[in-house]
Amino acid sequence: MIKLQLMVNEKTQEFEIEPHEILADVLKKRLGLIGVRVSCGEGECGACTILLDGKPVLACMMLAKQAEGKEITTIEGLGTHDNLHPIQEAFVEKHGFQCGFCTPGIILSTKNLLETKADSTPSEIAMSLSGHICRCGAYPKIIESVQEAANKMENSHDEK
Amino acid sequence: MKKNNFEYLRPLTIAEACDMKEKYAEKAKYWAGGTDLLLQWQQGVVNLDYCIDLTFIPELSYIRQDSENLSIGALTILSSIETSSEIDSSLSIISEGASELATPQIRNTATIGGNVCRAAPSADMAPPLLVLGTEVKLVNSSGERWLALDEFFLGLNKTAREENELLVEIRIPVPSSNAASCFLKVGRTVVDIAIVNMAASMTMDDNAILSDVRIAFGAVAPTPLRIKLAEEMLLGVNVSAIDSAMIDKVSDKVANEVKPITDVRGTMEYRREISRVLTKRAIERNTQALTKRVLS
Ligand SMILES: Cc1cc2nc3c(=O)[nH]c(=O)nc-3n(C[C@H](O)[C@H](O)[C@H](O)COP(=O)(O)OP(=O)(O)OC[C@H]3O[C@@H](n4cnc5c(N)ncnc54)[C@H](O)[C@@H]3O)c2cc1C
Repeated sequence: MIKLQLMVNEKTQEFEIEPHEILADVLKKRLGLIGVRVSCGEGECGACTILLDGKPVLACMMLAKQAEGKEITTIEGLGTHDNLHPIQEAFVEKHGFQCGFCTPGIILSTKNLLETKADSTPSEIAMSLSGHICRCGAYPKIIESVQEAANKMENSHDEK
Repeated sequence: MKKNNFEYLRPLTIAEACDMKEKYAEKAKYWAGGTDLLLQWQQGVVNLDYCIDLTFIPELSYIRQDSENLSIGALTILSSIETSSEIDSSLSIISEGASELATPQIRNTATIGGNVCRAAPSADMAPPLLVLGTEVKLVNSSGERWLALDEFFLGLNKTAREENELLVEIRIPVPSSNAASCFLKVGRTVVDIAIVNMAASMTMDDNAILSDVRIAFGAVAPTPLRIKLAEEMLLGVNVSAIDSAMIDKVSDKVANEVKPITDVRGTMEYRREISRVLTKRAIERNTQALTKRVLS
């Protein structure tokens, strides 16, 4: 066993792991962050997407040790049941999901997109989400949700 | 996947990484982004008795552009290359290759060095790097050497990198203002591995005579490769004399020279045909760009 120190959702945590442990497993099994979904486990589907220093990466394709010293954000770090993040609100309002399995990853990629290019066109949104597979095929609604999230976030800026 | 034998090593400098590799030799593997290595390890193709994680070596991650060269550290992630404002517009096929590789998430961890060292036939960075006259810097604990990328790819997943060598830098000379290049990729969707990918660069002299032509293909042979017999057909030709008959001849040559296989992504016949079409498109596009410059 070796020491691992991770900064997850703004909290620093230290524990022991086997050196070969994959980041997705550590987040899910050791920290109970079940919003990190593992589906294909081979980097194809995007369900395990998390943010590392704000950028979307696949937690199933990394050693946990690779993430040391970086800020990890999972869906649990966005909103709560009673206080949803504007992107989460938008997905609820616009029905941007059916079964919801791929949704945490998609919402995290959306967060990065809206931070880098808030006024993205539908095709830019589609390209930025090209690393996510939605087996329910909710894509059109997902794109609408992202646009709605962009509106919400812009309005909340205006109010401030 | 032998999970019991897995020691994690974290060098902070190039020298430390080389010493670790020297010490553990074949038992140790360099881990860059891990997007190729992880799957190979999980499938039991590769053992990682000692995993040398290169992620924490800051001196391996940079993009530097000066008037002569673009230098990219081997650990630079593809998304940095995709979005870099440093890279000269004459080298835009480097950013394009990076931007068409896999998904945004993969591009945020996968490195250019890993793409080159893995030496997959379909490696998206290979054709653009090959046509631009790239050299790579390899280092071990006793010294360093530079090698032309033309001499790097030896066979399927096999390169001229010695077991104990670390790839540290990829250096691309800035093309003359009389050069045009393009990168083309055909895959099932925008995120898929190439069925065929290719790049072509054409340089003319002051009299609009082609003085340098390079055409490189991926996914049509065991390694990414240049199609020199096709390149030669255009050498010495005046840009204004490149007509559709000539382009067809060069494209036919490419279709004859490639040695594709049939696999899940495409058949041999399809790959051959796509190679022909992409050659045509690339030469047309470069010719147009050069013609504009002759006229201006
Ligand atoms: C879902 C998925 C989709 C993909 N799609 C594409 C695609 O469209 N196009 C494409 O080209 N590739 C694709 N790949 C393959 C892969 O992502 C790329 O080849 C990537 O660039 C590898 O970089 P890495 O840093 O992850 O390499 P790693 O996996 O870390 O390393 C690859 C190999 O190179 C060696 N190595 C790495 N860096 C060095 C170094 N500096 N010196 C010496 N040896 C080194 C390692 O030991 C290993 O053998 C895909 C992979 C996945 C999982």
